[in-house]
Amino acid sequence: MEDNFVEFHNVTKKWGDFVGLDGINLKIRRGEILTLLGPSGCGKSTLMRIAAGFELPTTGDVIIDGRQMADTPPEKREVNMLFQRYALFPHLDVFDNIAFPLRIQKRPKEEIRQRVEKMLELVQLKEFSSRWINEISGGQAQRVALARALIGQPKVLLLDEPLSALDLKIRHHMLEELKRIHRETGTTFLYVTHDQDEAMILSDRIVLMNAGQIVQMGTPDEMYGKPQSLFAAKFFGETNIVEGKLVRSADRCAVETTDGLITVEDKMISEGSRVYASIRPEAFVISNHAEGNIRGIVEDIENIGARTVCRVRSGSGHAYRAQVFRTSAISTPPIGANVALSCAPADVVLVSQ
Amino acid sequence: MADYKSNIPRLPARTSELMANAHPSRRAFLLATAAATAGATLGAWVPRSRAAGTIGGEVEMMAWEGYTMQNEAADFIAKNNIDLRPAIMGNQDDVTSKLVGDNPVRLDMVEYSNGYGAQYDELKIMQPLDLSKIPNYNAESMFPPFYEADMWRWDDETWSIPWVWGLDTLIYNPDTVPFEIKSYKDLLRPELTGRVAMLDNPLTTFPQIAKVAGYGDKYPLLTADEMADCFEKLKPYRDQTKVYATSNGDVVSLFTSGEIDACFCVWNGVTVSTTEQNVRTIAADPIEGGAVWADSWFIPHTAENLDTVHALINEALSPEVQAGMCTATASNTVSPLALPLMSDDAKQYFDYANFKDEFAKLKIYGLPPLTSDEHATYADWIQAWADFRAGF
Amino acid sequence: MSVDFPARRFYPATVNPLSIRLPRGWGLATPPVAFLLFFFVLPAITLFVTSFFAAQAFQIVPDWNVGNYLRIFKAAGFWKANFQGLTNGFFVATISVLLAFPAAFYVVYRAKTNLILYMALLSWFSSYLVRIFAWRTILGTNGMVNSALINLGLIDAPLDFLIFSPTAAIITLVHIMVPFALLILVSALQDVKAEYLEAARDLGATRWQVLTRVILPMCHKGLVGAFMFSFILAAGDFIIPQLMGGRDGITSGLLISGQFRSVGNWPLGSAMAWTLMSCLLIVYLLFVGLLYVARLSPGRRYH
Repeated sequence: MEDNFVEFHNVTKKWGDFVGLDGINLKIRRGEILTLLGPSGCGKSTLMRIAAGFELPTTGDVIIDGRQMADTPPEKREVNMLFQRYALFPHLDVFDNIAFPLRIQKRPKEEIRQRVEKMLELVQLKEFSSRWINEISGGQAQRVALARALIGQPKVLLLDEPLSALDLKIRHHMLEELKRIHRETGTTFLYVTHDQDEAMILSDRIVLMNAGQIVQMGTPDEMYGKPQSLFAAKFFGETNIVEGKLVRSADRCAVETTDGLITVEDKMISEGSRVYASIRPEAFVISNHAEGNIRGIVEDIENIGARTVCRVRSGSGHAYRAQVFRTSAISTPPIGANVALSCAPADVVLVSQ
Repeated sequence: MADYKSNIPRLPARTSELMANAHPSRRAFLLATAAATAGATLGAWVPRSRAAGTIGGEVEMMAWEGYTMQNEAADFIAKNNIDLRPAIMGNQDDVTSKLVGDNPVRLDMVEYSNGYGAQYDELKIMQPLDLSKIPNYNAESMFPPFYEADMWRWDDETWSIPWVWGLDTLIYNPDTVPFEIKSYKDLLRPELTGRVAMLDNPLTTFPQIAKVAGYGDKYPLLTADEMADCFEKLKPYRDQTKVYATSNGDVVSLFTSGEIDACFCVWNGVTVSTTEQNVRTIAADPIEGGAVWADSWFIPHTAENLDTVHALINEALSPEVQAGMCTATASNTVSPLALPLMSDDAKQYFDYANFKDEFAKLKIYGLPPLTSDEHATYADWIQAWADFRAGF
Repeated sequence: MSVDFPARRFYPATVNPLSIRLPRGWGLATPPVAFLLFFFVLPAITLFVTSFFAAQAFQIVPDWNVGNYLRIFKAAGFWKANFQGLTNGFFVATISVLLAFPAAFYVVYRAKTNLILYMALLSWFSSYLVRIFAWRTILGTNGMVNSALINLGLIDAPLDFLIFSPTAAIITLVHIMVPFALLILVSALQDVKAEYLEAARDLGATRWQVLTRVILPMCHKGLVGAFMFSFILAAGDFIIPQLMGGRDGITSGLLISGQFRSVGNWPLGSAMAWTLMSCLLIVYLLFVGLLYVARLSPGRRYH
């Protein structure tokens, strides 16, 4: 049975006429990392702040561990937040920052000392306990903030784009740290980001949001491989979108496009409907002119480290991006060559709008 | 007469050449324009030039507000092209601080009250007057107490000339005080507890303090013990006091707002001001007697433009200006020649008809000495007064 | 042919003769520092030196002695006035800060516009003396407060402590000081971003705990600034005690100004001024110490 730890029931948030969240229904399982992903303004931060208690929903309920949160102020919720810019108290040193929640609860001195030292070890900052906040780097500050947020053993940890302020190299390292700490503590994480890479690496499940609504929800693989809307398809990684009409014949199902027929798996879509075919660049196989579904001329070649992306202009003027990995076995066609692109029917995802 | 610092700019020597040049280059044109402008503004930079012996020009004056003669002597000032620049003094110390020390300020004609002349003589900041230039100062035109009296003339020189005077005495509101005040001791009655103000002005208050303590004849030369006794005897009056007023105007405002019913000692011109605001006050005639304040003009050691200053002082004594000043400020005149020009209202503040007898009852007090071995000095008095006000 | 060039000879060394590490951009601070140096530090030192001289009839006699200070220590009048001044300062500073802080909190965290701030600053458009006389009208024996209370039947006779008393001086001084305190506190609170408050609440702090453990330590400079600013101005003021303080409200500021203006005894005046300044310095140290003990200072370690 699913252990739903945090539940949002029909949560709506309006400011005047502006609808920030529109009837959100979401269940977060105990101990999972769930990421709210979406472009700026989609409402993910608002939903998080509602979970924390800093905003109240206009309508709808928030239930955490079976308890209604409607009348509970933020300081009484067992939910802690990791702020985007950490909000570490500059008037306290690292030790006292981490100890802050325990001092609020007036725990005995010895207990505080032990728990803080354990936390410092967990985030690997043992030597930094006497530093002041303006003396530590961004990555260290984030770990202090994390320690401070976790020491109170909250039921849910909310992470508000915590890696956006860090350099690329450190970001990756911190992602791994977050995963490790999540494993060791078992706390439920609600993660908010606009960066799909973070979401894919970190999450157990991803919730894609746009304009105050949930567009799609699922594991990273599901989100990437089986987008259910044009928005979802376009949001994750790169994709080629081809518009067309579904046609069915005796032996196959295909999409009729301006560049020819693309065979797809039969998914019981009514014949004649307008569909969009989403094909990832890596799904294409580039071959010489004679074989393949889509024919065109290689316009540009991008060599990006381990992979090569070819931009192919088809006869009808549509540009396709096809990706191959650079190994000695595969050769990339030169610019100007006539090529054909083909892909397996299973790699074509049909979305409706 | 001191030299005027010349602020005349140096005109370019080639001005004439520039003018003669038929085709001035742009640079030359600009230079010429600048020179011409500078020349045009010359008038503002060089003080008004006049031949020696004539009057006119700037006069740096320092006086009490309302006593600058700008209105009363307006015609004279305009006719003689005098550029009168008055600064207003808040109290006598404002003058003292400007004239002593290493960097005194230029002042041409200044007032002092009563006995400050003795202090200023010790500080050596005055210069004697040239009476030949003040024909209005003579025995016929001045009431005898103000002509060649010790307060303004010593060492065979006239150091200043009194030109307005007035009475300082106990003022009270007859509508709110249920009895007639005939003596300072009446201030100690319970009806007046917390309804009395004392003016924080040494010149006005000190003589009365001495009188109340019984040393009226000896003031301003009291020994330290006598002075201490004065303030000791003043303590019951302090218990009656609500506030120390800062100025004559403050006293007026205290009367009109109903905060006080009596003032220990203040200029009787206050009664005019309170009446204007519909509160009646009258000057008492206590048996201890009142005091006289007298303002006089003196010429500081930093003065320039002496001819004009003398002419102005002369004008201050003219009947027209005297009458005008007394009417405007409710002061008393020093010149019998002004009386015919004054209205009855202006003459109400003193019984001029019986000048000699009435004045004999009054005394113009000086100030305690600046330095002395046997008597309490001005500084001692100020300190004692400060301690008294602080409650000691 | 290669030659070794010692680096020091050929690279222009920016040698700092004092070998003090100056913070970057210190050049920008030079004008105000120079101004303070010439118009505050040097005159203060001059005054201090003068306080050891004697005075003779408006002239300063450079005759080193500590007579002025001895005189001050023995003068009960001065200490009484000084105590009154310090008392005024204490009440004014405390009341001003207590009034200004909630207003500052509102302006920074709750208000959508700066309207309240501008309204508080509006009182600066009227002159200092005008405000004093306005309070005289309000607090006077026949003034607004007394008249209202008598008409309402709450009192029979006018309250005499309302005017010409230390209370009146304090009320007027608070009116003058609150805008200053408000500005200083608003400026300090603007640095305490709402995020910190949210973080503290999120971690379980009650509203009171947020105030005492986060806001106050973080705006410590503003607190000290507002308190001491109000204190010093109120304690040293001599116009309001004179006009509103009544018979018993004389403060040392008036005595000091008397020495400079009426008596011409600058050395004694300087000595009094420095004594007052020392008292204010002690107050400052006490206040900062109090905040430290009360755990309201930043930079303390609690482990």
